[in-house]
Amino acid sequence: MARLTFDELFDSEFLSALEVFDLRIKRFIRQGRHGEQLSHDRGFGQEFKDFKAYVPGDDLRAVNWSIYQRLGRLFVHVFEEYQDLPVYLLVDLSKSMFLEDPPRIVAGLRTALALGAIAAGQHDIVSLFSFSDNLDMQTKPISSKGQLIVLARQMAELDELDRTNLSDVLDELSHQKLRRGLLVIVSDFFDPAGIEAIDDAIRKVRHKILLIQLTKEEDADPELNPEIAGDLRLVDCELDEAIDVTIEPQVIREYKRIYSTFNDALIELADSLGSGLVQIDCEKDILDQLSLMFQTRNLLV
Amino acid sequence: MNLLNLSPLLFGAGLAGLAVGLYLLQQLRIRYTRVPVPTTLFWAEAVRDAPVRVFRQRFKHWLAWLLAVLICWLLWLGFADLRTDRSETANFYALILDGSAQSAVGDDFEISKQQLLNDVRSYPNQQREVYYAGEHNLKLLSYDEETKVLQQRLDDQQPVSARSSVEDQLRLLARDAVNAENQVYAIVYGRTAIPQEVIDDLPDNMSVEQRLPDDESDFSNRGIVALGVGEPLSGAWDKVDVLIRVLQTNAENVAAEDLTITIGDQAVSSDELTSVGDSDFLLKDVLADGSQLQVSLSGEDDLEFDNEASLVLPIRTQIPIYLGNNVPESILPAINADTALIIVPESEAEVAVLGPGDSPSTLPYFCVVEESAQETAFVIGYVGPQDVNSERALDRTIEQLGIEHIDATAIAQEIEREITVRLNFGDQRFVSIWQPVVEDEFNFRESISFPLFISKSMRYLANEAPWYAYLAAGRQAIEQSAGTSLADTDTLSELAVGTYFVRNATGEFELTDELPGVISLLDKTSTVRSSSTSIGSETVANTSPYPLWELITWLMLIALALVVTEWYIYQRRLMP
Repeated sequence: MARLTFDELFDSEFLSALEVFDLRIKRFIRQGRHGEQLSHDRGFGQEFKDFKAYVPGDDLRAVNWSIYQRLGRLFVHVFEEYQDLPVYLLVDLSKSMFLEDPPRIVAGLRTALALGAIAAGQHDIVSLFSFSDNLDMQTKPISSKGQLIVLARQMAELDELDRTNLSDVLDELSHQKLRRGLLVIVSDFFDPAGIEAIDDAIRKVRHKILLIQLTKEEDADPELNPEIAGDLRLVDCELDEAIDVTIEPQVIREYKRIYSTFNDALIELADSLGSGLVQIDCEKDILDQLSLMFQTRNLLV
Repeated sequence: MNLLNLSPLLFGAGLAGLAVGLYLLQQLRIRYTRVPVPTTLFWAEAVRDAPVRVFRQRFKHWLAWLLAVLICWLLWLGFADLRTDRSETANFYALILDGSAQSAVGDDFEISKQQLLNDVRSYPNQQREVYYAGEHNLKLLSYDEETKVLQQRLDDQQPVSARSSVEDQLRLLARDAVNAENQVYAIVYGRTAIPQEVIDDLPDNMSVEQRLPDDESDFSNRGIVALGVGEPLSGAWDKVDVLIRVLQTNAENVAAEDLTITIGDQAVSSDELTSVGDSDFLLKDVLADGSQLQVSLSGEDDLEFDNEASLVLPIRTQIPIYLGNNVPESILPAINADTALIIVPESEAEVAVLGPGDSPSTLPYFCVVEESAQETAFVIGYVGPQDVNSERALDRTIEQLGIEHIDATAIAQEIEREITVRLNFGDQRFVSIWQPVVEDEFNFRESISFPLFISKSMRYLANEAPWYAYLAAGRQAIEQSAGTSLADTDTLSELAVGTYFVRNATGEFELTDELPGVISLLDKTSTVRSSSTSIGSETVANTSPYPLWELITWLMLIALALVVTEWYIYQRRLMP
């Protein structure tokens, strides 16, 4: 199974189930058009927030004439201002995402589409990027649910690329002049350069970060895979390198320890960035896991 | 303790070879299975301290190797056929199933058959043979044949109306055992009685055991144990008396009414039977015309085979003789006294009796001649060629004529000449004798052997057909004739040697073209199970003398358990 078809991705039942979820970031960066993201700046939105003394240039429509009548001074209404949030979906298309059955890319695209649908439902601007060893931006960002079909089509056309080089991709992304927003990285994070390289690169990115780690149970416990027994020649699907292993309790114990360290490092990275890390099990139902993720109706990054 | 199939050296070499072979296989069997994975990052680090096995590197999988070696060693041990007693490997076991009439009682035969089938599996194929002692001795299973073929061969066997041939088989085994170095065990299955003399004659390296059927229900039977004919008490030449003996296991005597007798197609009334003692019946003056006499015993009992018996009556007719004109008076009383002889004209005669000066006859003749007419006192014409058997023919003819009973020394002293006998081989029977030998003044004429000599000579010349007093299964048929009718028992036995042996089973049987016969069981042992020595069940070990066959089963079970253990450990990933 290489990827999801458009029909599989654009599942109306799946998408309608996402309507209850909200995506929020703690602080929004001023710029852009009105949206549903709460800005720290006061402006001219729908909800009243405060009064301020009139200065030339203020909108005369905002003058509170009742106060002027009582106090003889001009005050204007200050409203809460809602702005749109640029959401950048960065999906890993390296070979490791397409290898197993089911391939991780399936869960990855479904998760990305779900987040995109939620963001678009809030009139945020959703952009799709894919990567393996290079960054590739898909055209036509969307900003409404009506355009979700465009996003789904873009995802359905994604194909397997090469090896993972997330650190370089992040580096490249940091040099692009994009509005500050939310960067959602959907990947297994099996970067040969290691977590340290990712750590270095991700700190250069000016966006808020949400890490979606695509996992399988056998990642942590390889004995769950019936093929992992005896004398094996394990072939790395991206590097095309092989390593001979005799599966023994000692080796399994060591593997588990190393994987646990990797996971801990990823969590620590997310914590240090003040961003979120969501682990999606690729063999379980995505909607169930998203429900857990949005337990309090909205996900706050 | 030793091994049946392998020498200890070979066995040890096999163990070592298996261990080494498996060790090499353990190392050589590294065949990496190619498995693509999303990343080898973690594996590379994990195996850094646990390098993969490579050929001729440190051997690590001791558990797997030990398990494999244990399983192979157990199989090897099973193949080697471990035994605990060295002497047992040299033993030979002959299992003999009795198929005689003695086994035809109730379920005895089936029980014995099953006992044999159960036991035979406990003996190594190379050390046992199975025989069936029915009408003949039959080897059912040779020493190297598979035991499983025995069942089908046994299915074809049923007990027959025959005397037991177990003792014959034992004698054959004993003969072979004499020169054997190993111990021979004969195990007899059935109730057949084994004569003590057979057991006494066994060589030191042979022993007999008997497995009696477990069924010890009371044996209730009666049967005909003797049926024979003899000279009639009335003296009538053309008749015989018939003796019938019936024995039973209980105290009730058999009545004459229980016996049904037919001669040819004619039934004989039980009133004509004379009871003699408790068990014998005599049917007197039965016409000796060659008819078949059949006796049946009514009522039900445990053994059917002995409820009927038959025999063919002899054919006895008077011998017509012609007397020449010069026949010495001295022999006439002997001729006249013999009721078997009748004097007729020469044209009707079968035998001519001639004196000195009588013209020769073409008939077989008895002739008294002048002393100068022949060199020896007795000249006997014998029909047959002169060959290597001539001396035996002379001896047999002398016996037939009763000449050995003549006091030849006394006669020789009186006539002052040597008394000798000469046999003339030709195509005519005759007996020619010096006249002085039959003269009244010599003691031969007055001796009791003289009429016997005359009588036997007439029967010899008439070539009287022999007959049999009885024909019993498994016993020698002894020819009754002029030559044997008055002989003692030892002589009869000697005469029987080299002549006819009757077969073991009952039924009609033609001994020669001229002499048909019917063989009956007539076996006292079968009828009442007595008067014969049995080694009895008390000497029999009911347990198998060779129980270690189960060891192989245990070895296989342990090997199987180890295979299961290995599989379990493998599944738990404790072993590669």
